[in-house]
Amino acid sequence: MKPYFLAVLMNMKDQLQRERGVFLIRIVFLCCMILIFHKFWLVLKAGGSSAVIDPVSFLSYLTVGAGLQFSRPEGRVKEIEEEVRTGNIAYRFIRPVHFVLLNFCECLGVYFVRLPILFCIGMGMIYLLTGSFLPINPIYVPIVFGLLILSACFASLCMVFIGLSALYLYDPLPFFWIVQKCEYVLGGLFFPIIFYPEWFQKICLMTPFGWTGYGVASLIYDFSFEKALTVFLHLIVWNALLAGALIILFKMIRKRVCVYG
Amino acid sequence: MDKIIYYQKLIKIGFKQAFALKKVFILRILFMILNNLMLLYAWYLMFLNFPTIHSWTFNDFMFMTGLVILTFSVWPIFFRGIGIHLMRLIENGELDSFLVIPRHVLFNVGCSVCDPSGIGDFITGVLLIFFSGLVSFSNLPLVLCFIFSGICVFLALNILISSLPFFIKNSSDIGERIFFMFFNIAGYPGSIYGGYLKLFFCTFLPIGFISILPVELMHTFSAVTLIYLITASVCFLSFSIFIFSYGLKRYESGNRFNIHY
Repeated sequence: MKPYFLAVLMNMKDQLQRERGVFLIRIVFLCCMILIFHKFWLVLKAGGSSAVIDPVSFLSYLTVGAGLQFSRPEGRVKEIEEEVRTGNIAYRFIRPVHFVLLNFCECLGVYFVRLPILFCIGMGMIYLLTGSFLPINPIYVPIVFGLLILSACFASLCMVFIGLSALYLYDPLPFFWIVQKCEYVLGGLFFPIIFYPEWFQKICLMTPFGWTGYGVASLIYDFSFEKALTVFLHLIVWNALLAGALIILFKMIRKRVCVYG
Repeated sequence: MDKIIYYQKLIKIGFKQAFALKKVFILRILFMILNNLMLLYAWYLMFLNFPTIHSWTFNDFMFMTGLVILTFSVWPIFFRGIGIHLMRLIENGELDSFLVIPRHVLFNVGCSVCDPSGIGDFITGVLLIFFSGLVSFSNLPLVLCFIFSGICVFLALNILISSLPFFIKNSSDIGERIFFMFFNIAGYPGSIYGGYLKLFFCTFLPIGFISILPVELMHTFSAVTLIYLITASVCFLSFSIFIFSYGLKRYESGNRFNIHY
């Protein structure tokens, strides 16, 4: 397991050194988004709607969701896609590390650095805007964080899957856009899915995105061990299903890939 | 006249390149339309819960989104070369072959790449503006003015960001992030911004020219605001071209000559 562990560490280091500038922009972007969400909440509240949750809960929820989105190493899809298209992936097969696992670990390394930093900065920003901190007891935060990592695992598997599918689709980027939008819409990363009609909420929770997004993020303002366990089980099942599909896809690719496309 | 013919041919070559992979070309267009509609549907569900957001109805939002998407689409269709492509050329010192052509560098690089997904954006943009119910024959010239100013703003932002590598080394990834950050911010209903934030978005960072002022002008027309909108957009574009030309003097060649159109 040592090479994989090192891959995680190297990517973590990379984020703090080489990718510092890009990461800084992500932080600025998150702060801008929280400011916009805050304005948005004020407008909804001024409209006298009863469906609005309190500002700290609303902003914390969106910060967790946005943090998950902004932590995503989306460039990985393009890198894997290029390796598949050019056939360079064949040279990776002879290495004593598993291609899928290595890419998965590299993605996780990025998440391990970005997620906690964005979360802390987001919470600081919320404090500046509302004067209050977390809407839940801080001792539950590690549990929420653990589930966030599981969500990150699902997102990482998704990226590797889409990247590898380049062998069949040639250009898998459009599918990546759709998956991204599914995360936004079905995962309730724009606004909590409780704002949606009931029938649509049910649809959202039938997909993995409902659990990776809304399921985890809603725990930040409405925590219960029962709910956390339900989210955990759903995430495990969806991760396992996607990992299984990924293994099958990778086996198929090993048979079909041609060097230099 | 010969300049127009030259750029026409350049754009034609870009299209031909993109159309070389027919299925990918069509897939990109279709998925981009789907991508945009998914996001709009989420907002539609939101507006079901909150019929007005600071006096903006769903129709206003639809018009704004259509305008943002339509004006944005001009960039991938005609000037895709400006942006990450141009930034990489500057960073790697590969701009030499464009500099020796007796045509403007920006247009040459810009027209050298075409992204078919922009056509999907264009179609969605036109449909959204048309179905928003705000456009009639009498205000069509006004809408064309908005489109013109929107194109100027997006292009100017892109040119400004593309100039970053002249002043900051290895800033292409940062630049790309910043551009998409602006695009994302422009996608929220302009009515949520008020006070200083609105002033900021309508002066220093003119994304309010696309997401705030047009809908306000559709509600209550003001000739002064319209003149300001058009003049400021053109000035912003001129300023960005000036900054690029200034930055070009700092360009360092990598002594690499490539063949291009």
